[in-house]
Amino acid sequence: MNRLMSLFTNNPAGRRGYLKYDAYKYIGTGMLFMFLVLLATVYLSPLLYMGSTALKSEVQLSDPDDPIIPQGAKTYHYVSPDHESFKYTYRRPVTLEYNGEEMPVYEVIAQGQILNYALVDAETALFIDTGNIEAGPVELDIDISSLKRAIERERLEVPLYDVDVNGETKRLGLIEKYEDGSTLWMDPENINVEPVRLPIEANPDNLVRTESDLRLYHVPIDGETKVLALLESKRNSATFVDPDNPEELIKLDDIRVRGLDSVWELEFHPENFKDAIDQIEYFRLFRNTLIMSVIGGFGAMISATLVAYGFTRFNIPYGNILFLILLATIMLPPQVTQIPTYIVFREIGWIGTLLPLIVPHFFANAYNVFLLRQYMMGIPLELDDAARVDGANPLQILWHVIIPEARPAMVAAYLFHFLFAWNDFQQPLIYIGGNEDNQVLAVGLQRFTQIYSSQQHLMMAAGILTMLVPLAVFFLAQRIFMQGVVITGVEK
Amino acid sequence: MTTEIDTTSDIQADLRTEIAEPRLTPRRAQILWGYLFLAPWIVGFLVFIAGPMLASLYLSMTNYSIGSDRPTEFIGLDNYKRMFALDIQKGDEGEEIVFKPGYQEWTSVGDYHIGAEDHRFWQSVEVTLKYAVVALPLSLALALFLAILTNIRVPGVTVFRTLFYLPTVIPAVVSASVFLQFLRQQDGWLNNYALEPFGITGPDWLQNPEFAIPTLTLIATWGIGTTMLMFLAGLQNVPTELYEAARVDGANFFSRFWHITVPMISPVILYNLVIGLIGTFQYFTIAYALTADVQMGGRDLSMYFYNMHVYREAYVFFEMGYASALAWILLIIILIVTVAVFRTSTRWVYYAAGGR
Amino acid sequence: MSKVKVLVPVLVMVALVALALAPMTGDSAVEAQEPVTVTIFVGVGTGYQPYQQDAQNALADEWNATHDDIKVVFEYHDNTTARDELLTRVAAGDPPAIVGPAGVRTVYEISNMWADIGALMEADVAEINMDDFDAASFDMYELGGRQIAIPLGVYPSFVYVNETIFEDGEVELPPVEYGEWTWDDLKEKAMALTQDVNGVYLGEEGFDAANIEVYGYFPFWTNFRASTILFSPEDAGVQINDDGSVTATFNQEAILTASKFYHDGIWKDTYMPNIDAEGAIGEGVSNPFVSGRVAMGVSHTWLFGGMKDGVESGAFTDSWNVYPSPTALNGITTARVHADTFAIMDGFENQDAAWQVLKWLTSQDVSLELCKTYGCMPARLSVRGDWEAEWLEIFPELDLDVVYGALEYLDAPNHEGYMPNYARAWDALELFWNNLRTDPDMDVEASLNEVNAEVQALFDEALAE
Repeated sequence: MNRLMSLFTNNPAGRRGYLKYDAYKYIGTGMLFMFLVLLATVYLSPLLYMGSTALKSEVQLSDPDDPIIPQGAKTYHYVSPDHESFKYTYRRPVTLEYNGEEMPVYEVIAQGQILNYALVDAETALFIDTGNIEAGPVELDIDISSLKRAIERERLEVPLYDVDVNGETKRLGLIEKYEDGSTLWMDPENINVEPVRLPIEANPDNLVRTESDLRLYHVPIDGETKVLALLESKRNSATFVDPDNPEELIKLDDIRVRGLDSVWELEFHPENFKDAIDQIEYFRLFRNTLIMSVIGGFGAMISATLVAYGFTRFNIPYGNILFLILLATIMLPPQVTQIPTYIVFREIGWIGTLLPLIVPHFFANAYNVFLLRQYMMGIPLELDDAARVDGANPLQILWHVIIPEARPAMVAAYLFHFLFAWNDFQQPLIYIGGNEDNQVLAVGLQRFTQIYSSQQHLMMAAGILTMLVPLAVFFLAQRIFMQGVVITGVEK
Repeated sequence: MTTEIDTTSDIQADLRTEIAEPRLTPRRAQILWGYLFLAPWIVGFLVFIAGPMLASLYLSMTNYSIGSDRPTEFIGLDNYKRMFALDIQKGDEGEEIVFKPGYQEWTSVGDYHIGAEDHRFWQSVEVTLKYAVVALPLSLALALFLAILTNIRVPGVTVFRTLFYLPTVIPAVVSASVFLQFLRQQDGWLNNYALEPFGITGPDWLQNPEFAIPTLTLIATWGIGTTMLMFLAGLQNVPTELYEAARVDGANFFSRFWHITVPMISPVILYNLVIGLIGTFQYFTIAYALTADVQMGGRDLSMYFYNMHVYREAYVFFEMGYASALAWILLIIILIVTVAVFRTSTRWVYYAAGGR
Repeated sequence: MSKVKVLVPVLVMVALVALALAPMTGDSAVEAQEPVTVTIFVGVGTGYQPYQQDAQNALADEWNATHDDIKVVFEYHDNTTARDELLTRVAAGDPPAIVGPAGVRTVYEISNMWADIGALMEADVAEINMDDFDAASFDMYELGGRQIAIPLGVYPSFVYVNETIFEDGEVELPPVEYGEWTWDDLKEKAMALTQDVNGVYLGEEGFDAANIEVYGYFPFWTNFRASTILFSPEDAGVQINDDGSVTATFNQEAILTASKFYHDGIWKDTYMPNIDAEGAIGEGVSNPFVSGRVAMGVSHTWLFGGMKDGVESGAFTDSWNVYPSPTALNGITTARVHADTFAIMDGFENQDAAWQVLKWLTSQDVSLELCKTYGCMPARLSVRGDWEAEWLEIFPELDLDVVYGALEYLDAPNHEGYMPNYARAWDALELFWNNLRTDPDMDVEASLNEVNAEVQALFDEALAE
């Protein structure tokens, strides 16, 4: 530790207890620490964006004044003296007055057109074409029970009342008052249900008052800033409610509402993470991904160790050519080998399973072999020779000499593969195909981001969720790095 | 078995041990052992990789198109000819240039206008090379810098290491989306919170063609965790004794860095360089994700990379034959560069086990 | 000793090969008793949203509960990658049975991969009840003499209007009858409603064009042909001549006017967002209209679902409705339409099983259920009333006269209709459209002539083959 620090402060090592040296050491460490903090902050700022966005609400994100940290716009609940009305489209069944009687009109479909016919007599299937009444009734060869009533649409606006119906209070819209004192009502929750006539009068005391959550703004009035709730805005003016005195409305001229600052308060939305977990079916995909990455990682690491050992410690004829072929396998863009590779996996019946994503890695890939080759070539041959003197065979040399020395590189290779497998979505996409049982996180995430491409809060939450395991694995693996070094005795 | 087997003097070893074990010489045993260790790769290569590679090589010499009524024919090297066909015309300013039919202008040098049968091929080569020249050295240097920093034992160094590695584990689709938001001209964080306070009006990072390569480089420097990790693993293996000895000789920090650290981790530098080259030439995902929603390759095709051209021909226009030809040319380009790097590596890469 | 040394590597290699090939022997022994599986490949269009998946799976369960011989499976893919997956499987000789819901463009782009169902339709004409469809709706799916699909649903378009922005801006709402306003009227209203972050309106002193909060008009989720068709160009830019040749007329007056309308609107008059601002508007919301920053935008019935999301999440609190498409300079009104359907893949071996499923998908009840979840208006006339009632439950104020009125003004030929060399021609037009939206200094007329010539060359090349 001391010696390593002195590497940086350029001080002679090993003079413990020397005051000046300690001071240098602490100043150096402190400065370096500060520098790292600064660097990390700048470097990770896009990540802060992720974290902050993942906790925001859709309402905040869609606001052009969206603050950097998760906040919610503060509102004021206002009960207005005005009465609430309900605008809707009433689908009134059409009838035709014929011979003084109201006949129901039905839709009859013929040759790509909807025609309206009034039913005169159900038993004989007599109809009248509403567009040609003079022609008189005609018999249609048609199953009346399959016909649908013709409707006409009427746009209505009705006042809302709290009405007592059979001891229950219901919110209904008043369509019509009749002379006999009865009234016609509709249910705003079920606008397609026929209105009902009730033997009661509409009581003005039961009219529903308009309630709403008004957004609060910092409003400058006469040189001071007040917090007011916005009721109505116009081109150059606005009407506000003072939460302290809601009875009196404040109308301001010459004000631009969009230029005002709204009142924000801290508000976190961790439920974004829950939404993401539910939508992606996180845990099932997580299990598949973990199986694939962990097993594949071991396969990649072990096979690459063997192959790299073969390349570095044995003088194989055409070894260099073989090595170049190995490297060439990762030089061809995967887009053009995708289809033939798919055919290979289909022939051996692996499509729809995790096998194409695991088994091939037990046969070494160029990235890891190359990496381990570079490390093994840095391990002095004297170590092999010493073992050989003791009668070790190549397998024993690999186990007792090479592997302990190459441990950091092996861990790096494992991590390399683990991370690749965890985030790769092109291969699972093609080889797992439509088999949802074996789906992996990267594909789930890709779909999720496609569905919610503009709802960044959900997308970032999902992204963070998929990062957790690779991060944890890295955090743990780097300890093995250090351990490996200590075990081989190259103490730092 | 004798004990003096040395890979650098195989012939001597052969001679010496021939007599002792006539049936299986150590040389042959060594080769057998070697192939045994290589077996996993050779089998995997034959089963999973060789077939599809050869298939694409064959397709590159056909006019195969997925789902087309056109019969697939063997057309030899026509796909390769189409790729490289150029038509150079001299024309003064204001003069209208007429190329051969089917040719479109790719670029002009002085009065000379260069038309190409596949001008997008040349465009993609140009963009890819520009990016490789800028982004690769920068991200290698930054990765090495971070590796050295986090190889020093300051408090919480494991946390810092994890933090610098962190961007690497962000899935590409998510990080593309992050940067789409982060780099937006009007209200992105970079322009709004980092540049505006200093009175700088931020550029349109994503749409302005002049910023295409800088923007992608910026994004690339963010994903160097793996490279940093490889360097770290290399730095871990530099014996401390070497530094001790150098310090006794009075070498300063930079001298020690240049004369000890660099040679000792040169195998890792070579690795990161070659893998980086392959990755850069095949660069695709981020640029695709940034531009696919609008127009693949961005405005004026300033983010149109080679692999996008391959992808476009294969999956947008279904021309699998031509796409395979493009892919094989890429393989050849990368292979040539890689072999060249390996050739020079004998001069600057130090292997404790002896260079080969 | 030495024999062992030779044997070991050989044995290891054999073992490795055996390991690699092991599952092959296991799977090939599947008995032939199983029902035929008809896979429906969802993802080239809509249909992969979670709530849509639930609805489709419920339908498949219904079918599977009553059929032993054919098993229906909906398979979901993500929109951005679905085509790659589909092509890989087709090329590898492993195509799904049915693809859909697919739009007109998908149908044309991979036109050679669909099966001809003409003869099958002929045989089952009574069951299909052709009377229930608008006769013209079949024409869209006739490619080179082959009938490849039964219509499922259409998505007519209209102008979505944020009435709150109009009210706040004290601008009169557009007319509710077709043929009563023009694109110039729309532009005038849009400019009157455009507002910067400080609340200053376009044209007022101190207007900050770099920080606009409300845009008067934003034609989102669109492309070159879709945007310019609204100006009613002849033949939708693709003129098919009697001698079989095809002339590209994308530089005609109507399309030039449209292109200038968009270029000026974005860069000169700034009442339409550029791509950078599009990103800012879209941030956090399921569609740009529910951001509350768009006064008017043209979109289709499929936005009903998005409006529902926006209202339910609380992001959208303004009042809105649909209004008629404006009339173009030549006096013709065009309401752009999209259409979705399912089609059988040519390479699927059991065509008859696929046909049974296709008939079921386009039957009355099933097509209604599917259209409810996709947002399309059912192609079958008999179920439109049910569809309408469904949407009124959610949006009681929706102006259905405008919705149905659009059917009188649909674009024919369709803006996604036939072109020779479809994918490349489409791509060339998109490059022009993208440059128009990113390059303030573009010479619109010259570039349009250029791209038209390029497209003509692509047409000629394809027809010469």
